[in-house]
Amino acid sequence: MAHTQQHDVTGLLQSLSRGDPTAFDRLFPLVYRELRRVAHAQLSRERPDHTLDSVALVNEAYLRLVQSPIECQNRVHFFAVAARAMRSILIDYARARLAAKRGSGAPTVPLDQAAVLINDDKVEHLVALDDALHRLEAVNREASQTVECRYFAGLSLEEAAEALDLSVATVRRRWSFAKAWLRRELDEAS
Amino acid sequence: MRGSGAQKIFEAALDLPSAGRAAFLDAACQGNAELHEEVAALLGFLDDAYTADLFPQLAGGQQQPLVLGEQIGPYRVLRELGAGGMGVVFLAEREDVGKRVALKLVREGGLASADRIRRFLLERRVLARLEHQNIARLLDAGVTEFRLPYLVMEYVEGLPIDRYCDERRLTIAERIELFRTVCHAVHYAHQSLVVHRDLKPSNILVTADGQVKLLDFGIAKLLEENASLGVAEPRTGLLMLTPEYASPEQVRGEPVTTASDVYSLGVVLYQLLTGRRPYRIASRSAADIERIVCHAAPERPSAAIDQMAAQARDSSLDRLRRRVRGDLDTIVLKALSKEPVRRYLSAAQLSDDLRRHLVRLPVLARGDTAAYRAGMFLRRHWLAVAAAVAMVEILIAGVVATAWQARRADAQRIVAEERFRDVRALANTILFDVHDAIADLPGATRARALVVNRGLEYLNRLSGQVRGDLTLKGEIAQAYIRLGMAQGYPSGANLGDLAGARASLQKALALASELVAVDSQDLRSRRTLALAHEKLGDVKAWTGDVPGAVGEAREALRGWRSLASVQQDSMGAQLAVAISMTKLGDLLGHPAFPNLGDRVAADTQYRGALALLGASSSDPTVDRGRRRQVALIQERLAAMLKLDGSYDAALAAFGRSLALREELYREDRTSMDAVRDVAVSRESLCETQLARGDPRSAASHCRKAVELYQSLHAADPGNAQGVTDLARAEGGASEAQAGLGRWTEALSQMDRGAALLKEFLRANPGNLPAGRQIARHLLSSSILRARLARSGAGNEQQRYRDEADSLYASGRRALARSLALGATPADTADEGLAREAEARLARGGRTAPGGRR
Repeated sequence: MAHTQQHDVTGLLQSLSRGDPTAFDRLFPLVYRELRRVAHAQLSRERPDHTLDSVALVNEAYLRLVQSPIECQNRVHFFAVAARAMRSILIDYARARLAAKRGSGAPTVPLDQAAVLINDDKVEHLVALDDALHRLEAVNREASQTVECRYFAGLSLEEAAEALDLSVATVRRRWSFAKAWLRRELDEAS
Repeated sequence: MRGSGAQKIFEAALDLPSAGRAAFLDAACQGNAELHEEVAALLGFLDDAYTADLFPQLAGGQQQPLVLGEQIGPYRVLRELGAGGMGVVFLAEREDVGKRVALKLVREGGLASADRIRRFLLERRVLARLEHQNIARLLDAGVTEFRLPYLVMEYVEGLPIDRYCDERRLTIAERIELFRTVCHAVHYAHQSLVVHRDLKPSNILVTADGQVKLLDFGIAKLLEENASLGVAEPRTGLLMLTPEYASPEQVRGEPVTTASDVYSLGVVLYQLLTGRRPYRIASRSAADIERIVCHAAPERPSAAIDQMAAQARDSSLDRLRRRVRGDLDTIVLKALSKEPVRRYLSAAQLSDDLRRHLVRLPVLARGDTAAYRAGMFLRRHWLAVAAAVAMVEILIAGVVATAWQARRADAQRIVAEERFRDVRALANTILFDVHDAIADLPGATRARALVVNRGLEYLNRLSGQVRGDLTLKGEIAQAYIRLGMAQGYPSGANLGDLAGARASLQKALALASELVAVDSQDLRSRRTLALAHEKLGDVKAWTGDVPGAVGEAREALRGWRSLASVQQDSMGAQLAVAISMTKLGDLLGHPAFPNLGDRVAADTQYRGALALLGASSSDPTVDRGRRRQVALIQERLAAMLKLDGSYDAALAAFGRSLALREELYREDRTSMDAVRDVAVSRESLCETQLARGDPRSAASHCRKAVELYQSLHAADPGNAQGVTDLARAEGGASEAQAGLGRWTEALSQMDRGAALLKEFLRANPGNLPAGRQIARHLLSSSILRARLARSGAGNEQQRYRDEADSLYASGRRALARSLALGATPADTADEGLAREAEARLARGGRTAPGGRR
């Protein structure tokens, strides 16, 4: 199983780097699962000072999925998928927490490892941010992807540019636009 | 979809410098208002500080936002300098230039609260508006990669002021001088509508070479933000304050004004004088702090001095106590008054009282009477003038209403009379104290008129209630003079409303005449009358009535002479006579004024005035006025010499005048008048050098004049005098450039002046000085272009000729308008200019179309 998965991932990453759009969707569940597993493993080590952050998680997930010397091209493409996966994990958790907080009768939140990443006081903001990101995607997909890479996967501008196959200047502009747009959107919503 | 169009325009705008974005936006949105609004709103969020809290830091992450040795933007962090309530300050170095700076970062890692970010942005705005040699400068600002905003400030290597004074064993006088510099910096901040709120020695550093630097505006407040009435102000948390230096109102969480800074300055001064703070607050409980700060009376500074303090001040215990007893005790305790209204009006006033103490003048603090106190509440707020006026209105309306109600009930007659006195004290406070406090400040012209108008209204209302109160009438007369001067007094900062000025001054004159008729021995009424004549004369001259103006000037001179004959303080009275003679001389025959063309008579007045001013005065204020007047008369005489063609003698006389003015400017750099005087001298030197045929020297004088006028105009754009001054100097500079053959510079300089005037005249169409000035500019510009048309290339020639034609026509029209408003002999110079333009056009092969009048 581990071997197949590793193989799959490598192949999918190659397809992705060749520009196959379906590779992204097929890669996503693998990355998503792996990220959760890494988070869980990190937690169960029960270090009092567990310091999880998104970059470390994604990096570790990548290593475990690919288990080979990191090939730069593959790695950066992987990040675009991982960023989306990180976003899903965090937002799923945030939504569940929010529903529980509001007592909407939703099932109790599964004790998800994402809990360590989000403080309770941030869940509302994150859910609102996610909604806004969906709207931003309709305006400019690259802008919302830039946010995923920069924020959810913790990539630098240069890394995000590689992950999204854009120039650094373009990513910088999309990043500026996304921030201003989200600020305005969130201010209007509140 | 909303947003997709906006995204393209937004991103394109990013590549432009921020100054060019507005124009780009207008062009790019092509009249689509919604789109324009959206992009503008988005660009408004460009600053990272606004979006810093968009992405909360996920738990875990980097706990420590900053590690020493780390890079923040172009800065490398060296060590921590200190931590305050709002943030941590580090010593950092700018790698590329090796410059050391203080870098302030929001406290604590993780998500900085929105409130902290707002505070930080506020501090940045506060610092950005403060450019003062005694305030640590803001150099840069940005956001770290962890999305925390930071500020970069000038790094000040110095000691807290108290330690500096002790280590150098400064004497009391030296300490006071140093402290006065602090007052000036604080006053400057107040003028910029910033209250520091946390003044204490550790925020007042002195460098090794004795330079004072004010630091940490971290909890400062922008006055205009909460200035309007009734807006609750967020209470500064007790934790943020340093209780030993906090004023009672701060401790109680009441609104903080500039008076709170005056209080803290009082504490610092107390400490500098005695080595102790007025209170020892051992407990940190809110109740204890409030009890002590708000209720305990501080010990007199002279009593608080001990042996150690004396030693650190290079004095003996007895001597030091004697030194501080009296004036200094009074000054410090006044600054430390529990009620803000009893403190000094401003940090500048505190400084001035200390100066008075140093030169052994009676100090203001001693005159703390009940009437004085009544107005203090209002004076305190002169900074936010509009708010002050609104407050005055509400306050007075309240007092007046109760007063009239009370007057109806006989039983409360005494109360009513007290109220009446209160209203009057209040009105006079606004009219005189508030007015004087802002009179010489840049940008205050409009505020002055507003303040005077309002005060006058209340006095008039009172006078309607009580007939036959002579003192009240005198106050109203003086108020009208002040109002007239702010409205349109041509030889001072004014709003360009000559008609309004004339009406106000005529009212003042009528009232003062009435008073003198009742009691011809009353000196105050006679002074008011003379002053009204004098000012009305100036205004009449500039509305075109020169004979009338000369009549007023003669009346004024008669008044001042008779006052001088009965007054004891001869120099002050002589100065008034000399000023009056100078003015009369101007109107009789000085070419720069509307005048009767009698130069011999003018010369006689000038020389007579100069003779009166020979001796110096022991009163520094009077002596400053005396020297200023001497410089002025020398300038007048020089101008007459220049007119006679005695250029070298004129240059020498102008030079003497300039030297005296530069000396006066060095003594008081805050005075707008002093700056303008120097500029005027430079301009005269420029003109004389031009006439003498030395355009190179002329250009250098003119450049300096233009620079000085520019600074004055920028500081007070509503001031009509500032506009004509600047435009006229640009015209002079243009001529100098033309003399040097630099045609392009000459043209652009002349056009700049004309554009400035045009804009001003749009708002003030009846302003004669500006109207005449623009006629000159248009005609000179026409002449310049006609000259260029003769020398330039083919198609250029045609363009210049066309422009010269149309400028000539507009110049003629402007001249006709200004002549219609009041033809005076001085206008013949302008007529000459018009003839020259006409002749130039004719030589250019054209008939001047405007020539047929």
